[in-house]
Parts: sequence; structure tokens; C-alpha cells
Amino acid sequence: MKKLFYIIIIACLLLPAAFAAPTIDIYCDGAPTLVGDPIANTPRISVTIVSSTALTLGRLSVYNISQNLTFVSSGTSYYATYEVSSPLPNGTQTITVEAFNVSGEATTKEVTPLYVQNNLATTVQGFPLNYPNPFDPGIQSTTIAYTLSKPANITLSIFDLSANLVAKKSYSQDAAGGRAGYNEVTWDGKNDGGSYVGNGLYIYLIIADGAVLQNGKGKLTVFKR
Amino acid sequence: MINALTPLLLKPLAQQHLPLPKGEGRFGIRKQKKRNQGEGCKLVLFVICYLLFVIFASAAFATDGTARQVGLGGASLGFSGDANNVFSNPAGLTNIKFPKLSTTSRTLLFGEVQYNLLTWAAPTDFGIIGFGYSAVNSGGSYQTTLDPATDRIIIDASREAISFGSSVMALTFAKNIRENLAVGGNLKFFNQSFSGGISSAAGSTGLDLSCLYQQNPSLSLGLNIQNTFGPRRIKLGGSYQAKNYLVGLDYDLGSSYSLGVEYPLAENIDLRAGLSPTGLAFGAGLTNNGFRFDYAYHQNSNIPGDLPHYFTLSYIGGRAEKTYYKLRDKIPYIRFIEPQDRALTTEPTISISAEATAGRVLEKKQVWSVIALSATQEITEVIEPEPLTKVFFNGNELNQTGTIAVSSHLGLGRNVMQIYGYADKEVAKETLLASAEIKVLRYKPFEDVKPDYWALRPIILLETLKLVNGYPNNAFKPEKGISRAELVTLLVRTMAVKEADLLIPSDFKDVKTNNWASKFIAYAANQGLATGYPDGTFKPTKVLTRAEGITLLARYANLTGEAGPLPFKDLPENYWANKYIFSADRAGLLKYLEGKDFGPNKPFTRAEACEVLYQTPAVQKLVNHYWETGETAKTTSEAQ
Repeated sequence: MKKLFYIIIIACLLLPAAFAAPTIDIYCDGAPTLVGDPIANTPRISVTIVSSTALTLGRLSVYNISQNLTFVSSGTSYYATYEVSSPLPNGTQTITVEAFNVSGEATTKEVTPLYVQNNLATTVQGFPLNYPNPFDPGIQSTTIAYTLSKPANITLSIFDLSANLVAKKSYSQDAAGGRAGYNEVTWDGKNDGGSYVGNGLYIYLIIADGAVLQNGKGKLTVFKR
Repeated sequence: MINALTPLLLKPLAQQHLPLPKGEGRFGIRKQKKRNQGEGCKLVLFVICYLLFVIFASAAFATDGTARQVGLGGASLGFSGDANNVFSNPAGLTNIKFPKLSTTSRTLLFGEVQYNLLTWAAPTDFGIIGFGYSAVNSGGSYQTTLDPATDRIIIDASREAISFGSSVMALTFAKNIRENLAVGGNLKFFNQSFSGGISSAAGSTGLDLSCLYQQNPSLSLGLNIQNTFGPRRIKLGGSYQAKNYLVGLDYDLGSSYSLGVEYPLAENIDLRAGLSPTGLAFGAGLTNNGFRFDYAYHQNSNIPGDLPHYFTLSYIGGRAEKTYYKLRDKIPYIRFIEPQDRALTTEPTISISAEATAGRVLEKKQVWSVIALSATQEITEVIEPEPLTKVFFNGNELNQTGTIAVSSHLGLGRNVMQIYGYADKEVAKETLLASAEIKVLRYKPFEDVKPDYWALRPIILLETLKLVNGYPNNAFKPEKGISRAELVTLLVRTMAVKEADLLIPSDFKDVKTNNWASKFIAYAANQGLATGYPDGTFKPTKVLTRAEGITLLARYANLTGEAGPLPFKDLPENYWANKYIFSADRAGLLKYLEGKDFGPNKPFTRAEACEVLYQTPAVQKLVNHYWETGETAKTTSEAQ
């Protein structure tokens, strides 16, 4: 009796996986796009669908575009990419992806609102943060994450508390660190001279077009245990 | 801290007090006293100013140093004499003459960091000592985690944000080890502490070394090694003074550079400009009453948009000297310059010059102060000249004061001249009187005694006192040998005996009763002054030798005793007159033979006789009496 109970429990846990609808992830310019994220006005939209059953059709809609997707599959994963060629208007946008499997079942993923803000100055949305914080250079790197309102060529400058420049990194607007939306960059804790910095608080500034972006400053802690 | 160090602050001042003018004659310094006084209360004002400054000046801040240093692009090795040299170049402190204090407080990096800098340095007997404190503090470094839903980094709300403070305290010493070479160093104590999410504190020590070489008055070169035994930072640099511009360059071996120039626009305004990899900087310093306010504008190119304004408040000291005078008294003063008192002249008129002035006795108070810190006071009594209000010469008012020139007629004989002067005594509202008097003797000249004749004064005075007479035709024959009769007569005339009382004629064979000198010879023989020869003669006409003449005069002056070492080499050791010559020389009668041979057998001249007699105390008394009263001692009958 007890054994049967466990079997039922385990079956209940496994069944949804076996018969689950496909999961859809949407990326803009390589970064996972979540509700509320800014996106570029000409994003390269990638879609990853994981489906236990074969997909027959996929469709992407954004603004006035509705585009059938051509998948490349690898096992249960299906990938497709679409580059928006004519700029999206500024304002709130929605990206919708529909996927249909062989049995005709449809799964829909809609990410809304997304923001195209090409008319506004680049800003950092929310606060830049790093993980892990504190971190121990030499053993760890830290990842600095920030959300840009639009793509921009970014300079990330890290200062010690005496305002001495410790490290300076540049990210192009079409690569990680300069994209619209959520960006993650890593810092190994080395200064520009190649040595690990000492314990302390460091302030980093996110700079574009010769100005520190609004909300573009954060504080990270180096602490060697 | 400052109060405890006050003696150190005062010491260099006391050493450096200015030299006083040397008094000359009656004008000048009479007495002086000196004291130091602290002016600690002004320091309290400074501390209040500083606190206000900290409150209002929390703007943005620079990488290191004061607004002056920022204005100079960060160059510091060649810009010495600032308390901030404690951190930037300790050897540069050797240029300071006063205690210095510098404070900077501001925020950095868009207000994320609080920065405080305090430096102090003071000169002492053994070198410059200094103290520095610099601290940075910041907080709000959030601890994070990954959002399980989105895999994005989020604040870990369960853990506290981290704060961090880092400070360094420096103890500084600097000294000139050669005239143009200074060295300095810091012992530094670092302290770092985390709080909030991490609780940790750590301390360490470090050593900075620096030197400054003054190649010539315009060029100085410096080297600064920070954290000698740690992660070293080495800077080379210097400065060059070109006219009013002081140009300095620092080169950081970490491949950074700072170029700065400072220009004094006015006495209390400095303008500055600087260049460094982080961009251009401009600045100004305003000095007032020992304090300096520095401002710099520097937009750090690494931190675009950060506040570009930098402020520093410093006490830089400076010496002020003030002098106060207060009238204490007055002293009138009169003196004859020309002729001298008791002058001899043959002229019927004489030019007189005199000085008639008053001295103002002033209390002169000089105060040297190191502004707002200490003062040295010196009170001196000085006398300064002032014209007299009224001056009289021989009873006639002169319209002259100060240096006076008048001429006066002289009668034959003794003339008295007087100057009287008056000064108003402002202090006590009374009139003060001063006077001076001289006597001048106008004499009838002898043809053969010129005014520059060596024995003029004894001859003229003895003649005036009627102790000696000339010859007819206005001759004195000073070089003529004096006869025994003549000298005896001369001596008896000076004695307290009236010529009328000289009644007893001489009983010497060769001195007839009618001889003009008979009674003088008799008196002298009677007094034991002169003796005859064994054959009963006196030989009155025999001309005396110098030895005989001196012997006679020594006896006259009661100078007898044993012989001693004589200054005359030509006298044989056992010479019969040695004891008289020795006594006469010791009594100062032989001044006219100083440095010469005695020549015992030379004829004793009339001039010599006058000179030696003039030097005897008895005759000096007669001479002084004459100068003071105009009275000759006694009058004897005319003789040859």
C-alpha cells in the first residue's frame, strides 16, 4: 500500500514532463528577454523551444510583423532566429511566439510589455548588481549585470574609493555588455596592470557617449577570505 | 593635539625674531624685554571654520591631495611648503617656516565616497614634524543572489549591505641634511574595516621616503617613494621657477604624469593650471591673514559628469610685524662740537659749532606674530632726537637748533662760552633745561712757539699762570737749555709762597745778592729742593742736563724711591739719577720721551722744563683752578 502511494506520487511528478506542452524562451540579441525588458529597435530575436513532440510550425509576431519561423532542431530543442530589419517604433512592444506540434496543439509565449526607447538617452534600468558580492579574486570572478534601455557602446570603469581608475572595459553595442536589455559582464578582479586588486569597496560606472548613465553606478566588494 | 604642541609651534618663532637696530651714542636702545604669548583662541576660530567648512564643502573630490594639488594637475614634488606635502612629498616640508594645517573634505564619485584629509606640519629645532590623516568611507555594496525564476542577479534581501572604510595616518619627519638637500619620510598606519554584511578589520604599516634637491634657486628635483616595502609607487619630478611662474612636473613610474604651473597674480592670489592624463585643471588660491582658501576645477575624464569643484582650507601661517611707539620721557641734550673745551687759540674770533637737541625717550613695542598662533613681543626703550624749543648762546637766543654754528669774539685770556637750551616736556608739561659750557684760552703768541709746537700747551699755560716768562721781542726760546737759576725760580713760583716773602738772599758764593734769582735760590736751598756744590757755589748759570733737570723736578714733586726697570735703553744700570728718572717716569712726567732715548747729558730745555712741570700734580691743580675760575694761583714779580 505504501509502495503504491510512492509510485503514484512519482508518476504524478513525471507525467507533466512527459506530456508537457513545449517551453518557449525568447532572446533579443542573445539575452533572455523577460517582461519589462528594454529591447533594441532592430532586435535579433532568437527563439528556443523545447518540446518532447515534434514541432510543425512556429510563428513570431512583433509590432506589425508576423513571421513563420524556420527551426533548426537538436534533440528536443528547436532554434529559430529572426532579425527585425525595419526599426520598431518607440514605445511598448510585445513579442509573441506560437508553436504547434504534430498533434496540432499550440503553445503560445507572449512577452509584454517590452520597451523600445530609441528616442531617449541610454539609461540603466534598476540598479547594476554583481554576483557574487563580495567576491574573492583569483578564486572567483564576479558578474556585473545591468539592464540598458537601448544598445550603446559601453565603457565600464571600476574605481577604488580614492577615485583612482582600477580597470576599464569596453563593450560594443552589438555585443554582451552593450545590448539593450539585461547584460552580464564578468570581472576577474584584476586591474589594468594585470594584478589582483586588494580588499575593499570598488565603485563601477557605466559610461556611454562620454557620460555616466542614469543609475549607471554600482558598488562591488572584494574580500579575500 | 594642537594645544599640546603649542610649545613646538612657538619655538621656531622665538628663534627667528628680527635683529634690532644697534643703538648709537645716546640715541638708540636703552633697555629691552621680550616675551612670548600664545594666541590659542584664534586657533579655536580656525577649528570652528573647519567644522563649518566640512559641513558646507561636501562636494566632490580628487584622487589625492588638496585643491591646490588638483589645480596643479596633481603635480606636487616641486610645489613644496604646504602641509599637504605630508602625503605628497615629505621632504618638501623643509621649506616651511610656520606651522601649517590643511583640511579637505568632500565626496568622491558622485557622492558615493566621503573623503577627508587633514595634514599638519610644524618646524622644530630638530627638523620638521608632521601628521597626516586621510580617510575614505563608502557603503551600500549589496550582497546578491540569483533569482531562481529568471536566473538574473538580484539583491539578497536577507543579508546586509557592506560598508567599507579605509584610512591612513602618517607620522612625518623631514630635515635638511645638506644646505640644498632635504630628506623626509612617513611612517604610515593603514586601517581597513568592513562592516554590515562583512565584519572585518585589518591594519598594516608602510613607509614613504622622499628627497628634494635644490639644484639652484630656480630648480629643485624630487623623488618620492610611497610604500617602500609594499606595492611601491615611485614618483620623480621637480619644479623650475621661471620669472614668476613656478612650473612643476611629476612623473609616476606607473606611467602617469602631472604638469602644473602656479602664478602669483597678486600678493595674496595664486593662479594655477595643470595637465594630467585625466585632463586639464585650473585653480586659484586666496590667502588672507594666515589662511588660504584653494579652489580647483578639474573634470576628471575618467569620471565624466562628476562634480569638478575642489576646495581646501588651510592655515599657512605668516609672520606679521607691528611696531608701536609711546612717549615716556624727554632728555634735552647740548654739547659743543668745536672747539674742544680748554682749547688754545690766538685768534680774536672763534667759530663755534654745537649740538643742541633733545632726546625723546620712547617705548618701542615690536610684536612679531605667527598669525593666529603666537606672538613674540619685545619692548625697548629707545631715544630719538628732537629739536629743542629755545637755544641761547652766551645769553643770546639763537634761532638755531640741532647742529648750531655761531662765531664769537674772544678776549685775551680765558673765555667762557655757554649754551642753554629748553625742551618742552610733553609728558609732565614742564620745561626742561640743558646746558653746556666750554672755556677757550686766547693767548698772545710767541714768535718761536708755533701753534703746532709740541709743548705749546704747557708753555702757554705756565706763561698764563705767570710761572714762566718769555724773553723780550716776543720770544720764548723753548729749545734753549734752562739754567739752574731759571729752573729753581720756576719751581719756587709754583710753591705756596708769596714772592714778597722771599727776603733771604742766597749765601752761595757765586750768587750775588742782587742776582735776580738770589732769593729763589735761597728759598729752594732752604726747602732742600736744590743744593749747592761742595765748594760753596751754586753755579746759577750752568745749564742743566736732562738728568739733572729731571732729578730736580722729581725732588720738587716729592718723587723719591728706589730705581726700577726703566724704559730707556741708553741709561747705564748704575746711573746716579736712575731712581729719580724712574720715579718721574712712573708719575707720568716723562710722557714726552715715550719711545725715545733718555739722553741724560742733553741740555734740559725750557720747553721740557715746562712740559715736565705741567705734568706734576701741583701744577695740574693750578691749571685746573685757572680753567675753572680764571684765577692764576699767585702773581709774582716780573722776571726775565
